[in-house]
Amino acid sequence: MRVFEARAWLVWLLAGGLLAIMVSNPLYLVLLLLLSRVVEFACAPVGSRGWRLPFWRIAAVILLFSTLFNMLTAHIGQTVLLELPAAWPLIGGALNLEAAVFGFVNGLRLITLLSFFLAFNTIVPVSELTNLAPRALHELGLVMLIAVTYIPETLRQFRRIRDAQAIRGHELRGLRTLRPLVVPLLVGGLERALNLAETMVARGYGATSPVAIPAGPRLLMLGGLLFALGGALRLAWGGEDGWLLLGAAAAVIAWAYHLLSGLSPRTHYRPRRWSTADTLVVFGALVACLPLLPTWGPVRQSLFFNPYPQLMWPLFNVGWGLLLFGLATPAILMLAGGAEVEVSR
Amino acid sequence: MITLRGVTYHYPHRSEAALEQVDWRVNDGEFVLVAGPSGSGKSTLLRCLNGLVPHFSGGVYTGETEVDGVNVVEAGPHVLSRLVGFVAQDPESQAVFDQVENEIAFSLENAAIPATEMRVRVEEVLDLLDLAPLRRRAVQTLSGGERQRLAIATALALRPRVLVLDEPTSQLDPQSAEDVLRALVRLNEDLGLTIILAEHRVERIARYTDRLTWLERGRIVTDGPVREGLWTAAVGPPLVQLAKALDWRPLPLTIKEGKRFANTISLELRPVAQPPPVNVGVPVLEVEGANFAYNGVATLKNIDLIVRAGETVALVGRNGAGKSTLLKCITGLLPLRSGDIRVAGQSTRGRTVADICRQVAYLPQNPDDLLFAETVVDELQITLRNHKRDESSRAVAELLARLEIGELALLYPRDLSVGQRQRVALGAVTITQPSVLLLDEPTRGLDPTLKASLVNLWKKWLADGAAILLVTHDVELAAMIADRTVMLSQGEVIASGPTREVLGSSPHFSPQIARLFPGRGWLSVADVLRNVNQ
Repeated sequence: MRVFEARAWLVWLLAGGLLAIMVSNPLYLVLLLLLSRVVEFACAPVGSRGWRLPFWRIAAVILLFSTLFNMLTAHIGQTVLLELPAAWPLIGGALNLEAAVFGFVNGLRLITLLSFFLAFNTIVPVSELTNLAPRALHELGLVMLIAVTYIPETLRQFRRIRDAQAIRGHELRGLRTLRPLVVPLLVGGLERALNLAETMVARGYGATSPVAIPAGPRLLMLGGLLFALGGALRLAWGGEDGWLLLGAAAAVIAWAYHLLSGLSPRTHYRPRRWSTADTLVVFGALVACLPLLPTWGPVRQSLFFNPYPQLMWPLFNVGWGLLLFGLATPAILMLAGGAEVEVSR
Repeated sequence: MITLRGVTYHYPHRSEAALEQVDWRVNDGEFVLVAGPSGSGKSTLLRCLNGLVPHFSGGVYTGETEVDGVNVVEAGPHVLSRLVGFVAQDPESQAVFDQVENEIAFSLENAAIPATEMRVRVEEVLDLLDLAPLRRRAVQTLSGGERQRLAIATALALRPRVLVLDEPTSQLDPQSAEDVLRALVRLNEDLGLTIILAEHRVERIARYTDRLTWLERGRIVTDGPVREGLWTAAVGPPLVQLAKALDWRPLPLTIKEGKRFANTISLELRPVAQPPPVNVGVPVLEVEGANFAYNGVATLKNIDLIVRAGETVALVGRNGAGKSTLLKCITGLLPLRSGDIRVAGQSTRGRTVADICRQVAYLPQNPDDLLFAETVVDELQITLRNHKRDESSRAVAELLARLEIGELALLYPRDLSVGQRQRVALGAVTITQPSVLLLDEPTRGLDPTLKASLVNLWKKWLADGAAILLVTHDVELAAMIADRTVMLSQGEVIASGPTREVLGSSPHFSPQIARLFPGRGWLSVADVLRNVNQ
């Protein structure tokens, strides 16, 4: 089975996420949504996750809520579907098709974004996610990842406690009745966290001897902070070049962490070697983002859709639609098969 | 290899010592069983060996502990992680990563072992624990036994000289427990690894170990060869109890050893009379053709079961056989795909969980999931309030007295010991005076004394006409109390009948006495002694 480097997946996620946020054309959004689902279907390791988010059920709820909420609260548009008494607070007045469509498109953006994150989370193993963090920030990354992996277990625990309380006749009726669920969940969660922490310490977590940080990274860090401070002050006084200073601060701090990572003695099991397939995944993701560049004027217009004041059919550029298929590169490579990416030893 | 000198330890804010003046020595390559009542300090002693006590737990520690010449308190758990592999009680809360081999590599990555050597070490432990076929599996898809073997593998990755395990088989069915123990024996015998293991189920472990250390109230009261230790210990597995009663020396630890003695008295024995008639009461729980599927996978297939008033039915089977699922279907927590369940003749179809649970008490595996109130009394009264019943303080006081926790009525339930919490939880689900009790692994983690006291309590309920459906991996418990036993495998009933017949003929689920005297229908020490005396 072909596997890709976690960093290639990160670029794929960023590209898909950026598009989901920027694009408001529902036709492109549906295409993006389907592409992310296909990639997850093709690339998720078989039987790798016991518990899965019921994506389509959640998507339906989000779409329904977003559509109804906007239709009931935004009384804008020219195509009236229904009139509610104007005296009704907030929802009173004309309910318009345009407002409903606007809410629907916003919901679609949200579920497309969720879909990309879900695919990334399902495909990339937790152990590889830790490798995405710079080695100097490994411990922080690990702690955050453990927090993420805690969610499914906490949900399982919640269901168990809910069942246990149900057999005592407990019924959930508002916030006051939450206590029988919350207290055991909190106490159990703390006990679980302590058990895990104890096991990690017993397995040598944090056992590597601390290394003295040389002057270079320290100075770079200090410089980065000064740039950041300068940038923030420039922006506060209306200076546009403040962004440049902030950018420089980010670059200098990143360089400092890069140097610090070199000092970290931690090693990786089965470190992956960057392969041609990984390059193709990154290339595909970047290609899909090309129309976001300002130079793509006419194509760029089709990215955006506004149903107000009167609903019109959204534009669709076939060329850009095809470019979006760059995000499907992992699925295409997966289906094409081939040898497993070698693992360097 | 290990030396403790005058170790005394108090947990933070506790005046009573968890360990008191402990002097202990373990030689290189020994396999030591640490046993004793719940709360006697077993887990604390184990945690002293890798520095988790006092470095992780805090508290006041005096005395000195050395492992392979390293002072544990000075070095701390980080340094000790290379010398002492540690496996905690619950394998489910120990996994950091989601894939088997990455989980094993975690400690090696922390120790900055070069990638090439890491591969060798991971392969080594995968082979040692027979985990190689599971290397790419997601941790959460493993069975209980596989998870426990993975926990041991992760502890061995750094090639420690000592392996410390805290009740590693408490959550496992007999077959899975046997697999884990055989793996430990191999490590001890083939690699010379020193193993220290704490366990309540002495009958499972004793035959594999060299030494028994018995703790009570934080002190070592017996320490020596396992046969001598068990001879003087107040409690022990049925084979040991029988041997002590009949003065078999040297004390047999395996069925093979026991049979040498049993054969010498066999001529005096007579087959037991027909078992007392069962199925005499009125059916209070009837399960008929029950089917249930989880995510499209059938987990209960055509289950038929009847439990009558005044009888106990044990439900046994391997982890994942569908035992807990059946209990949840009975209480309405899971909906049947087809079939019917009747409680006191009334179908549970279409009824709410709360409605069913007025007639059926269900004690889940983890009693802590039930407890949240400020006092023990509140726990019981809240159940009454939920069911809109009269919160009579007399009924509550009577039940607490019956549970022998009357004096704890105003204490915070979560501060109580494991056995006491179990009783509070039992009170919380039985205050509605249900006719059926569903008990899911109710003696997990309890010592033999606490277990016996719970059994006595259930017997009183049975005498009052209640019925018990008991899910357990503890075959000695089933032998002690169950009139009938139903064995499940992959969601199907594969054996059902009087406990003497079902457990007596099962290779994996038969109690020690049944294995010692096959074909006679004896399950307990009392059965044997009754016949010997005839």
